[in-house]
Amino acid sequence: MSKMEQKAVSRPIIELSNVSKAFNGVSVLDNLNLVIPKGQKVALLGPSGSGKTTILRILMTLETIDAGQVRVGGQSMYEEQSGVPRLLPESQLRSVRARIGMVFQHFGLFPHLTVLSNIALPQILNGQARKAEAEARALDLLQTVGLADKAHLLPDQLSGGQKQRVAIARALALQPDILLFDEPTSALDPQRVSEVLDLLNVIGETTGATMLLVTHEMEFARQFADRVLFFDHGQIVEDGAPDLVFTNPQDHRTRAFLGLPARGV
Amino acid sequence: MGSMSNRLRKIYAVTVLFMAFSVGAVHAAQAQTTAQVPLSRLAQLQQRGYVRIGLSNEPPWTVIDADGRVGGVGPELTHAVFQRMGVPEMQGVLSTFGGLIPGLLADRSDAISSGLFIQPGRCQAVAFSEPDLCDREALLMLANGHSNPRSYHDLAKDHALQIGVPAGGSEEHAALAAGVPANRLVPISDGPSGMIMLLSGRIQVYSLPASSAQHLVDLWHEQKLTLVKVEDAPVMCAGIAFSPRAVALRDAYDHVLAQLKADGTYDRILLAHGFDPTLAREHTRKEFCAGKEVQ
Amino acid sequence: MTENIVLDLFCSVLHGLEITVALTVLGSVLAFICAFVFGLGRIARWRLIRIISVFYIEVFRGTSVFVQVFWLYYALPAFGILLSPFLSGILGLGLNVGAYGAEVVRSAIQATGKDQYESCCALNFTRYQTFRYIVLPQAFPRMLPVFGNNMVELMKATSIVSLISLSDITFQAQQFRIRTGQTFLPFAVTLLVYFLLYLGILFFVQSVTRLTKPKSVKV
Ligand SMILES: Nc1ncnc2c1ncn2[C@@H]1O[C@H](COP(=O)(O)OP(=O)(O)O)[C@@H](O)[C@H]1O
Ligand SMILES: [Mg+2]
Repeated sequence: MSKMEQKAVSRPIIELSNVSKAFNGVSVLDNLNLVIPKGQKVALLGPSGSGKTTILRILMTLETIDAGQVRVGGQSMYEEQSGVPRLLPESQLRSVRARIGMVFQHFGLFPHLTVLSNIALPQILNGQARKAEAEARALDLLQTVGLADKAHLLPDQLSGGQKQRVAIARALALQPDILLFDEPTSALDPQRVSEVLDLLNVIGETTGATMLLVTHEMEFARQFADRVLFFDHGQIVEDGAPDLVFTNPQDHRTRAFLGLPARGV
Repeated sequence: MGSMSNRLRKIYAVTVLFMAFSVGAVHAAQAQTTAQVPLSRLAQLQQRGYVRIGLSNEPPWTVIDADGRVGGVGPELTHAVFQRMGVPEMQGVLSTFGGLIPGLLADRSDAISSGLFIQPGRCQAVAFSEPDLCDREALLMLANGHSNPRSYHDLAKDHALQIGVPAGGSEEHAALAAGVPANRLVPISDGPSGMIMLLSGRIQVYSLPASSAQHLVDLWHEQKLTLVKVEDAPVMCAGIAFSPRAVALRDAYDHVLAQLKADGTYDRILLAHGFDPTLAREHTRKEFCAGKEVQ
Repeated sequence: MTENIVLDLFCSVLHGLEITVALTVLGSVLAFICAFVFGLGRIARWRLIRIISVFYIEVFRGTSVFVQVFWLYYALPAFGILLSPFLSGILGLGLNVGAYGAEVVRSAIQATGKDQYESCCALNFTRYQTFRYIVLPQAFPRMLPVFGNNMVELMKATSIVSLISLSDITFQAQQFRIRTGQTFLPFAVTLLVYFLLYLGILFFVQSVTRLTKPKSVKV
C-alpha cells in the first residue's frame, strides 16, 4: 500500500493529542498521542493499572483530561479555557457520544428492565425509533447474539456470558461508529468466555465499526485485531500489527509481559 | 449525585415560585382584612351571623354528643345571650380543657363557655363576664373509706391520702392554700379517668366541682360513693371568657346577661339543668378577680 | 340503655374515623410531595435549593410534630395567619413526615450504582432521561417500605390533632368516655380501628410494591 492510498482509506476517526491525565496527583497518562483510522480494530494490551481503561473512559467522556485534546470524527471534545481543556457543554457532547458505544466489564445492564427493553429503550430515548420498531430491532439483535428466547427475562435471570451478549446487543442497537470494549470477558466464568469472543468476531466482520478492545485474551487479540497497542505506565510502548508485536516485540516490557526472553543487545 | 436536568430545574423553579406565591397570597389576604374599616367585634359577629364558642366536654356544664352537637347549661345560656345580642348561631370549637384559653388567645374562638371558674390568675389572661354558673367544690370518695375528710384542711392533715384534682382546675390552688403538699395532688385529665383511679385505689379522694361530681355519681350509680361539699372552700363561679382585646364585647355580653337574669330566662335555663340560679346573684366578677382584672 | 351506648359509640367512631382517615390520606399526600421536592432538592445542583432543602429537613426532623402542629394552630395567628384546624393538622403531619421522607428519597436515589449512570452516559441519555427512566424506577421500589412505615407513623400521629379541636377517633373516644363513663369499650374499639387502619396501609403499600416490581414475562 502506498502512502497516498493509506490516507484515502483511513481518515482518522479518533485522535488523542498530547493527552495527560492524573488521579489525585498521580499521573496515569502522560502526553499520550494516538491516532486511530476509521474501521480499525485495535487491541489494547498491557499490565493492570497501565491506563487502558482510562483511555476508553476518556473517549466515552466518563473521565476528563488534564491537558491535550481529543477528537472524534474530526470534532474536538474540549475547548481551551485559560490553558486548561474543558469538556464541551452537554448539548454539544451528545452528537459525539452518539457515535460511540461502550461495553463494560460488569455489563451495566438495567436491572428493572427486561432484556428486550434494555435494548429497545436506548433507541427510543435517542429518537432513533419508535417503540414497535425499536423492539423489532432489539429482537433482531437478540437473534444475532443468540438470545432471542430470553427477550422477556430480567437481566438477573441470565448468566454472565448472556448478560454480556445483551450488553453488546444494546451497544450495537444505537449503530455507533466506534465500539469500546473494556475487558468484556474478564468477569465471566472461563467456560463462558468463548461465547462472547465468538460474538466479537462476528461483529468485527459484519459492522465495519472502529473497535477498541481492552483484553487479556492474547490469542484472541492476535487473530481479532488489525493493530495492537501495548501499554505500560500510561505510555504506548509497542504499536503495530499483531503478528509483529506478538512474535518480535521491540520493547523489553512487552517481551516480559508476553513471557519472551529478553533480547541481547 | 447531582443529576438534575434542565427540565427538572424548571419543575423546581415552578415549585419554588408556587410556594413563594402561596406565602404572598396569604399575606395579601391578611393585608386585605386588616385594611378594612375596623368594625366593632360585636358588629363583626352580627355580620357573620355566628359566634365561635370554645368548649371542652365537662358534663354537666358542657355536653358534646356523638355528632359533635353541643348542649349543657353553659352553652345553652351563652347561646341565649348571644341571640339576644343579635348573633343567631353558635359554633362549638371543641378542645381539651387546657386548650381552651390558648385557643381563645389564638383567635380560634370568640369566647369560652365551659365552666371556667373566675380566678385571679385567669383574670389576668382573659376578660371574664359577670358570674353565670356557680358551684361548690366537692370531695368524692368510696363510701367504705377509712377516713372521712370534709374539708381541704382535713385532707392536709391525713398524710395517707392521695387527692385527685382536675388538671388545670381551681381545686389544686384551694388544696395547696389549705396546706396539702403538692406531692399528694394528682392531676386528672377527665372524670372517668378520675373515677377509675378512685376505684382502683390510686387516689383516695377526688376533688372537683359538686355538679361534675354528681354527674359521675350518677354514671357510676352501682358504686357506693360519698359526695361531700367542701366546708372550707368558698362558692366558685364560672363566667364566659373573652379575649383581653374584647372588653367591649364582654361589657355588651354582661349587659344582656343582666337582662336575662332580670326577665327569668336565666332562671329557667339553670333550673332545667339542676343548677341553683340564686348563687350567682350573690357574687361579682370583681370579688373573684381580687383586683387582677384586665382592663 | 346499652343499645343507646353502642349506637352512640358507633356514631362517635364513625365521625372520628372520617377525620382520622382524611388526615392520614391528605397528610400522606403532602408528605409524599414534600419528600420528593426536598429529597431531590437536597441533591440538586443549585446551592440555594440544597440549602433550603437541608433547612426544611433538619428543622422538621429536629422538632416534635406535637410542637409543629401547636405552632401552626396557636402561634401562627399571632403573625396574622389563621389556618383552619384541618389545614393545620394536614400541614403539621405532612411537613413533619415529609422531612423524614425526603431523606428516604435522597438515600434511595444515592443508592443507585455508579455503573447505571455510566451505562446511561454510554447510551447517550440526557440527565433527565437518566433520572426518569433509569434512576427513579430503580429507586422508587427502594423507598416504598420506608414510605409505608412513615405512613403508619403519620396515621398514629393523627391523634395529636385533638389538641387543635379536631374530633379524630382518639378525641371521639375520649368524649364518649366523658359522656358515658365507659372506658373499656371505647378504648378497645379505638385500638381495633387503629389496627385495621394499619392493616389497610400495609395492604396499600404491598399493592404498590407489587405494581412497581420489575416483571419478567415468560414467552
Ligand atoms: N477514579 C480513579 N481514581 C483514582 N485512581 C484511578 C481512578 N481510575 C483509575 N485510577 C488509577 O489509574 C491507573 C490506570 O487505571 P486503568 O486505566 O483502570 O488501568 P487498566 O485499565 O490498564 O488496568 C491505575 O493506577 C488506577 O489505580
Ligand atoms: Mg481496566
